[in-house]
Amino acid sequence: MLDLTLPKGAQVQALGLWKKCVEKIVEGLELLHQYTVSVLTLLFGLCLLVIFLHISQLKTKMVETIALRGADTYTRELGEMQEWYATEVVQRLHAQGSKASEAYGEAEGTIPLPFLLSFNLGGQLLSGRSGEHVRLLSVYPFPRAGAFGQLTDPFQREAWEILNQHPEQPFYRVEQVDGRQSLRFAMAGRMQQECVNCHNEHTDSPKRNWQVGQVGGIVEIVYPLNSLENMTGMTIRDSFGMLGVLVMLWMGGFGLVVLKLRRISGELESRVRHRTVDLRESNRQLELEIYERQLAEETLRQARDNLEKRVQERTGKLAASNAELIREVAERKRAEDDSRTLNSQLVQRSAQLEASNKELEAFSYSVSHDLRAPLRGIDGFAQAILEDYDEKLDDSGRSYLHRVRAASQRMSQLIDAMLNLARLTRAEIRTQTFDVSAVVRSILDDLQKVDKERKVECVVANNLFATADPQLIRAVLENLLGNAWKFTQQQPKARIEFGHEQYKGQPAYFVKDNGAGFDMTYSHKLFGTFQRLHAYTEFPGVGVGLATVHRIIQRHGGQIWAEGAVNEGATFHFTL
Amino acid sequence: MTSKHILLVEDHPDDEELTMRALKKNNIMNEVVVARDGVEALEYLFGTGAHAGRDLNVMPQIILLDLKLPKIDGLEVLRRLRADDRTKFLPVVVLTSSKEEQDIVKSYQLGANSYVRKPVDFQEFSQAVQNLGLYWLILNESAPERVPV
Repeated sequence: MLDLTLPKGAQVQALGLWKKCVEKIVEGLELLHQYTVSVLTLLFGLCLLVIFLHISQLKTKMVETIALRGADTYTRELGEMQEWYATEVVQRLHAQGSKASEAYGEAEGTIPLPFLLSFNLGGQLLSGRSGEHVRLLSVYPFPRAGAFGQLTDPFQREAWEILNQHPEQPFYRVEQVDGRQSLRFAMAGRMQQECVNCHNEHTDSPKRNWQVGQVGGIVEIVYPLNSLENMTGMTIRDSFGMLGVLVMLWMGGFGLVVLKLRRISGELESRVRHRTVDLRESNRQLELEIYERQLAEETLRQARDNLEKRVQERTGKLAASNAELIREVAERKRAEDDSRTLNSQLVQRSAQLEASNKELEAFSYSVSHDLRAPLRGIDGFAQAILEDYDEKLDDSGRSYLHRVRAASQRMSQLIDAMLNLARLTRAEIRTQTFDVSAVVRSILDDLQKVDKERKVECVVANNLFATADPQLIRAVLENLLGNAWKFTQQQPKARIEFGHEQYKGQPAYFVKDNGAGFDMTYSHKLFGTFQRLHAYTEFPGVGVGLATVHRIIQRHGGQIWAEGAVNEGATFHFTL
Repeated sequence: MTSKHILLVEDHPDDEELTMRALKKNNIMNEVVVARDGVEALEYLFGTGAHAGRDLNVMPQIILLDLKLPKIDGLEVLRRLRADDRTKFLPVVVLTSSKEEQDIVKSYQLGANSYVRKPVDFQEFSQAVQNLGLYWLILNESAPERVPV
């Protein structure tokens, strides 16, 4: 395969050259743009010069052509005229006896020779024109040498030679003649039939063997070109002068226009500059604004992104919490249903409870009235027997009656305790804050008053306040302190202490004694109704007190518990 | 019938007997009129029924009123007493077995002058009756018999 691409180096060179050309053209165009008037003036001047030179050349050629045409016409006319004269005039007159002769004015019956006629006529026509003249020349020795000259200079000799070879063509040349640029024009004068006849016979003829077509002589015309040239030169100069003036005027006008344009363009430029400055300023402001906008947009986008993120997060959270809510609502609904069921159950239960409460109330009311009345009868009438029939009774009879009374009274205590328990169970709790220490002291004082013989060391912590039902708590403390009082009666150094300690972050009160104590094995029986851990004869009691205490503490939402050991005392703790 | 007699409203014969014994034991010799239910008590006080034509100017010095009574109970008797001008100032001591709070509160609300619970122990009961007699029959000054309208 033939590689038609140029080598790389040549390519680069060609490219460089082309680039240079383009650069030059651009430079030239820039120069033209900068010096428009000057460059245009120069170009016009150059054009004018070229035109002037061209026209000058044309003028020379024109002058030569005019001179040539003139000379040609002149010589041809003269030749025609000579030929016509020779045939029409000379021959006829020759036949009538007139003779053509050199000396035609001097002798009778002579007429001018044809060449003389044309020579003279030519001389006449050219007379008065400076530098122009006609010559007849020949190598042959024609008479009247004054008219017929010999070949004297190179032109004439050359012309003779050329014309003898080409007689139908004129021979001419421009050269200096007498210090003037002139056209030298030569035409051959050939022998006609009539001429040959005559010349071969004529006496003055230097030669007798003329033949038709032979060149007998030549006509030379000298035509100075300078006058003609001067004339056309003047015309051209005038024309150029006018053209120059016109060009000057035009250029002036053009210059003015250009100046005007320059001024306008200057104004425009200054305006453009101002506008440019303004535009730059506003551009700068716009850029600033754009920057600010971009900044704001950026901020906005960030805010939007942030917002979107937050919205997404929120949406996520919302969806999650929504799901949670839905679940919760379902749970709630279920719980509500449950609670409704529970509620209705509760209402039912509460109605039942109320009914049973009322029953209980009615029961305890009737117990209160009806169970005690017979006991009173038993006790009263036993007493009546003891009083009224004392003398009829022996000791054992009296003892039995005393036992009847004691039994009835104990029964009465039991009934009272039961009623009390029932009452406390039902009683409404009215909370208030009160001084527990004071209540404890008051109860101990009461116990001391009833049992004046006892000497018990009572230690009561000061300023212990509680928020509970004062009456119910008093009942609790009466029971506990009463028990402590009771169970320390066989202790020579009885000691009862009331105080409080922290239990699971809340105050726990305690009543502590150093009395009989109890066996922890049976501690679970302590708070049961009618439960007793001691013989009645040892420590009397009905076994309802701690049950009541337990019930009250329970109703306060508290707890009660006991610690103890046989003969080492007991401690009852309770919270509220 | 003396003006300083006692109206005992008591349905239970044992209690009636014991009360009478306690009064006698404590040397309270005032006449005792016994009404065995609420209706009888009201008939006596307003001179109606079995007691029609009774001199209503003579009113008991003290009324010992049990609460648990057949037909009309003690509280209702008290209410009617207090509603009538003739009997509204009569001293009424509620003498009953119960010390139920509701009984005590209602009694005082209806205008009882005193509330005493009958103790099971006769000696205590006797003591209570003595104190009552001492106070209401001797110390206390009754309202004038004819109350100016």
